[in-house]
Amino acid sequence: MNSYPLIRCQPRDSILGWDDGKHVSVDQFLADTFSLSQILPNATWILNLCDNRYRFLVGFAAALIKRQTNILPPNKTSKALQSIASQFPETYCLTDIESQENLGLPVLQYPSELKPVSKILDIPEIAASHVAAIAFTSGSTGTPQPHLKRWDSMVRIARNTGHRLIPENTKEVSIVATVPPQHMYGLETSIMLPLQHKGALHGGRPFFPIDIRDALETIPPDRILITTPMHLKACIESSVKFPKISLVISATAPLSRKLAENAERLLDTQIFEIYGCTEAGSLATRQTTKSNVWKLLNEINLTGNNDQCYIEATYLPEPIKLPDIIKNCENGLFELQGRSADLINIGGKRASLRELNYHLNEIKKVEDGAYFVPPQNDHDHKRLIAFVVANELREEDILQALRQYLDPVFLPRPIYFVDHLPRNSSGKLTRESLLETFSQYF
Amino acid sequence: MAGLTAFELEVAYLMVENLNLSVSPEDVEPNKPLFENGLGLDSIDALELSLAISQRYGLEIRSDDKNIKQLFFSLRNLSKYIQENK
Repeated sequence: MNSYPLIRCQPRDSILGWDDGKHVSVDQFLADTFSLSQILPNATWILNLCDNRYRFLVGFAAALIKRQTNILPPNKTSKALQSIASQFPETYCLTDIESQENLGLPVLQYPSELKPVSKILDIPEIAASHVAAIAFTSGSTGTPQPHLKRWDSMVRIARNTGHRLIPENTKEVSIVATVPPQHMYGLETSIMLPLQHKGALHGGRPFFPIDIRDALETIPPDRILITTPMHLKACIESSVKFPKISLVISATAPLSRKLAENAERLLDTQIFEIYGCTEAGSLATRQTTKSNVWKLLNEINLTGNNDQCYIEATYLPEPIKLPDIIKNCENGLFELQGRSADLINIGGKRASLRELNYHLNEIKKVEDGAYFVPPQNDHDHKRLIAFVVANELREEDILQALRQYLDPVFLPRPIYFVDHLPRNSSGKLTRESLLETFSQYF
Repeated sequence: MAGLTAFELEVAYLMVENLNLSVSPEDVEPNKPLFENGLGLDSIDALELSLAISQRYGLEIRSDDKNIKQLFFSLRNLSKYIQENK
């Protein structure tokens, strides 16, 4: 197919979402999108930082019909945004937050009132090959690596995910998501699912358990909650009572079987995990309480085994190597046996150890430094640790420098100042030798 | 000593214990920001801290509260909020 519609055909008066509590029909969404597209600047790339999910959706769609590409920033640190601005010149930013700090990019404020459109609009077609979005993985040299997302791949993944998780005969589906739409998982589930499968999206991004409850209470069943293990854990540990949730979707970090069982029991729901990566998008699902085995989405093939696994899909221009260690069970099934040692996941956010070490060692007056992942059974250290050789720096100086590049969850806690790192004769630093240094402190 | 009231010290203990901070509770400066440049807390901490507050004081924190930034701004603000609403 050479194109796919912006929104898969559904009754024009059906509800597509709620913007600040007001429901929005498909017709209204098309009018809002058309109206916003009229005032978007002529540019190639748009950084859509809208906080309200419905407004993000309108910005995303308006950019598509103007043949622009949505940039999904790896994090919102000043250096990450600057790096994007230099890689993608003439990027502009769309925002619905008033007191936006200066990003060094032209800013378009999302209008408080969009100009009404009187005519009935056709559903726009978007070219299959159009690059709808660019997502980033952390590069080892500190520069985020872009991954191009063609419109056809986003549509196929959304339809295949919807087909797997939300039965066609489900009448009405409403979606609340705790993940930002600027994140690949958030985009695929909370934006693309309503556009290409079914579902009406709640405009908010609830954070605390009681926010999630409030959001769920304002929308009708069948309710879907799109979230992460971190938020799920907070929900079941809180004393908040939730309305009936038909389906919980979890991703970004592995969900333990115990947490999944507790959550299914306490919330009287079903929890499905999605496995995916930034390079290839959503790839497989499983109901954690029922199976350890992941089932690939339609149209996807897995080849290879262990740490040499590749994903092939009709919508991917070339095979993509997976960053994980996998037992290929054939027939579209696999087990996840571990992450590559270089990948770090803190609260669902990902970075590579190489990237973190790069930024640490780039700091002026740091003579040598290494991040260290504390042993799993160490409950006193839930974050990363850093060993640093730097006579003239204080902990605050190092944190201040790292903060410009890294999401705060990757800041070391604590930093240990040492005379030297336990490098071997060839200058290599092994995890074993760092473990020994670590044990000297505890 | 950073000049904490008894209740502020109690909240500082709750924070340091639950979030594994390397600072000692007595040394938390009451007016210093909790997030970013101050104590360096982040979104994971916010969630954990809200749970600890809910378990200890039966108070649920909302992010749509217009004063959320104010409320989490410093130990003093947070303690005042808990004391007034628990």
